Amino acid sequence: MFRHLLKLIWNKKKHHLLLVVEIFVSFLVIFSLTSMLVYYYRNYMKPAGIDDRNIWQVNYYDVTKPKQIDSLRQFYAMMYQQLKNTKGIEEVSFVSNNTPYSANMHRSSVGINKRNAENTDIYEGTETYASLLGMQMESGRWYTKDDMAGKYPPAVIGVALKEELFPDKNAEGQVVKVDDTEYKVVGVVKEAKYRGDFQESGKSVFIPLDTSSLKRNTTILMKVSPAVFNDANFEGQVYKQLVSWLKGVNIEIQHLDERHRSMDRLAIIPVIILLIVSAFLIINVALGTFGVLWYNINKRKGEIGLRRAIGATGMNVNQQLIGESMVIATLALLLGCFFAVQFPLLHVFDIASSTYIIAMVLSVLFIYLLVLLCSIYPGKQAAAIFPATALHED
Amino acid sequence: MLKNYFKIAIAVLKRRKFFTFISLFGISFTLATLLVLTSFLDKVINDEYPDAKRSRSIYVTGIEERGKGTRSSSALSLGYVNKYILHMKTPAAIAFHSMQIGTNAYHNGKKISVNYKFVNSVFWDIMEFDFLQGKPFSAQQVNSLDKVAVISQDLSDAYFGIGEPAVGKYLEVGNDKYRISGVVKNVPATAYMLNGDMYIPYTLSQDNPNEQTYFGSWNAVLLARSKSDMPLIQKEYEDIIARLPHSDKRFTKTLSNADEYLDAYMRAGNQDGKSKTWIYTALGIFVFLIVLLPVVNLVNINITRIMERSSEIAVRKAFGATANTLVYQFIVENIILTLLGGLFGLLLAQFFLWILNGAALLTNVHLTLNLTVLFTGLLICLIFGFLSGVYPAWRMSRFPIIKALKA
Repeated sequence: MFRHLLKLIWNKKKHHLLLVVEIFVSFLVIFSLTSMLVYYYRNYMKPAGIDDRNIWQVNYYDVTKPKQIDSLRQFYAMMYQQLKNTKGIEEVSFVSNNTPYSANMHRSSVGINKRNAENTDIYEGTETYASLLGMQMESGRWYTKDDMAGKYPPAVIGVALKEELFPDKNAEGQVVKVDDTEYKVVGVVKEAKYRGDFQESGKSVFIPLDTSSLKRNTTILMKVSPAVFNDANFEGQVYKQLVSWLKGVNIEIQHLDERHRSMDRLAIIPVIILLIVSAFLIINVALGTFGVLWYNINKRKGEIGLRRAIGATGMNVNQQLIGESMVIATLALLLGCFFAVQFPLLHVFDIASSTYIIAMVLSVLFIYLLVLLCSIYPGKQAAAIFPATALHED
Repeated sequence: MLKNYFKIAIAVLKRRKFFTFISLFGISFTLATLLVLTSFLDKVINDEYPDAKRSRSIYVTGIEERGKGTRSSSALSLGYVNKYILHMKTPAAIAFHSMQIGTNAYHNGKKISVNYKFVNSVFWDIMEFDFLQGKPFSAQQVNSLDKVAVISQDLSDAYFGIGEPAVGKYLEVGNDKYRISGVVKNVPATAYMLNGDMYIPYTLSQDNPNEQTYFGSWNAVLLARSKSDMPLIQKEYEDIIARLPHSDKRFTKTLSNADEYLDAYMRAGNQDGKSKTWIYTALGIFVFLIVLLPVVNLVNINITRIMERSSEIAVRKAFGATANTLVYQFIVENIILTLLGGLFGLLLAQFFLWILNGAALLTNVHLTLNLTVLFTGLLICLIFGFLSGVYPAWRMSRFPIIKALKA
């Protein structure tokens, strides 16, 4: 049966070529769209790992800070106390500027002996960082002031980094190298989605601020009580307070949840536009395929009449025509899959192979369904052809 | 002759309404998508507010230094602008400005986000801002560290009330009160190098004008006397970079470019010049895919339709019509079809733009269908019609007469 169909198609190869090209291109469009959707969906289903409610981010620039290390530490300790004592502010942490949902990035390789994890995000923050952002520990604990006295400064690593560096042993107590400094791991934290709901969290390591990072620190995170979170008057007071403490400074207060929303929006808008454009392209293709199949059947009335006359049932004819479309679709899909499979093989983007495989399966199913739908009506029409009328025509 | 073709085309369109619908649907949607894209690009490339002298302006947006395994890249420092750019001889005028700096203003129990920029006074000479109220600040005010500001209409409306006069009033940001010297029309977010809510004298910045580092947050705009002077300026800047001492021993190579507008726009801080090619490629692939599917679809349908007309074609051939005449006729018919589709596409595009503008994805960006866009649309229609007509027409012209007449 299949060989017969293939022969029929091969005989009219020139005729079917354009249809194959059309289905092939549609497959590529659908494949890129589903890859994106599957990637987003899988990330969306993972827990956020961050509680973004009631958090302010303060950016401050151009502050004249004390040069001496001791007075610099004192400067920050005092600022911490003063902020913490302000009614309405629940927790304060000084952090590097790559805060959740920001465009800033600080990546480097993190390693132990010869094993190196490239492109690991390095986040710096004081001891209150995790509790302020509501991050959950997988094992071990977050670093405290006491850890600073040890031989190595402490570090907390994310689950993904732990899997890469210490797949089959405990990470706690191990020493890792971050930017040429050695740190001792004290805990493993659950992955936090720093780039919004739809992006992967990536590998991460959290370290306390050293002296040089304190010198160039420009970012403070504050957890405030829900009652004053949206109170512009209270925010204005804190702003004024900070301006008067840090003379001649530029200050900006941002709301973390707003930034979260706008980052998600930024991720979702291109998908929506692509979705609309692809939907119209596919409707276009579906209508076109339907038209061409329909017309072909009208042209093959003689052949179909003959088949009916020598004993083929309406069902047989129907099956044959749908089968033909399916074979054409298969040819196009084989070609399409050849190209699609290059993405996971060549690691074109930094995305898990399984995402591509799922997307490929979904796209193949979708194209088959589309072609099936487009050929049902023409097939039915063909099945209804009476041999007598059809043969009479020619 | 054309009139005849037109009549035939309309008759054919009426014959099989379903196929006509498919063709028109494909064409109009494709065209609408391309029109929206064109409208956006037109906004980016051709909207000359506020830098109306764009065609003879050169933009320096950043500097990058590289060494073995290390690389630093950022906008310029004030020291660098002072020491190297302000001493250039070929430009007629040199403006410089900082990148946007975010802060908040709290006023009447309301929080207002403010993005401000430090600028020099030449900035106002090179840029042609629409002043709705007041005027720019002068060189003298800049030199005497006056706390004056030019603000956008949006900020004026938010802080002083909609439509209220703002000139001479004070706006409080941080520890300082700034006297408003002028209010300007909003700059769209697409002009990302120049937009801001508030412009203040650069002398108020904390940056040290004699700092040694090259890396900071400043950009410069160099105005040429005429278009022909632009290569001279670029040459002079190249020479400066070639002679520039490295800011640190680690570095062995310096990259910085004096660009024309579009190059600077697409560079977006990347001094390598690769981002431009990348953007063009991505855009090209997108347009190619958008156009490819409908064209193939249309070719498919056209071939089907021609087969239907085989007897007509055969008769015409029998009466002596040459292959060329038939090809010509079919292409004209197809172009008529695409133009008709284009008309629907125009309406569809207007509808899309209405939705996009309503969604306000980019602040102060209002996309419209102007003459440039319409002209591009017409061009796309013609190319589209031609592309999707050529192959079927060629197939048609080689149609065997006898076979067709027999049927």
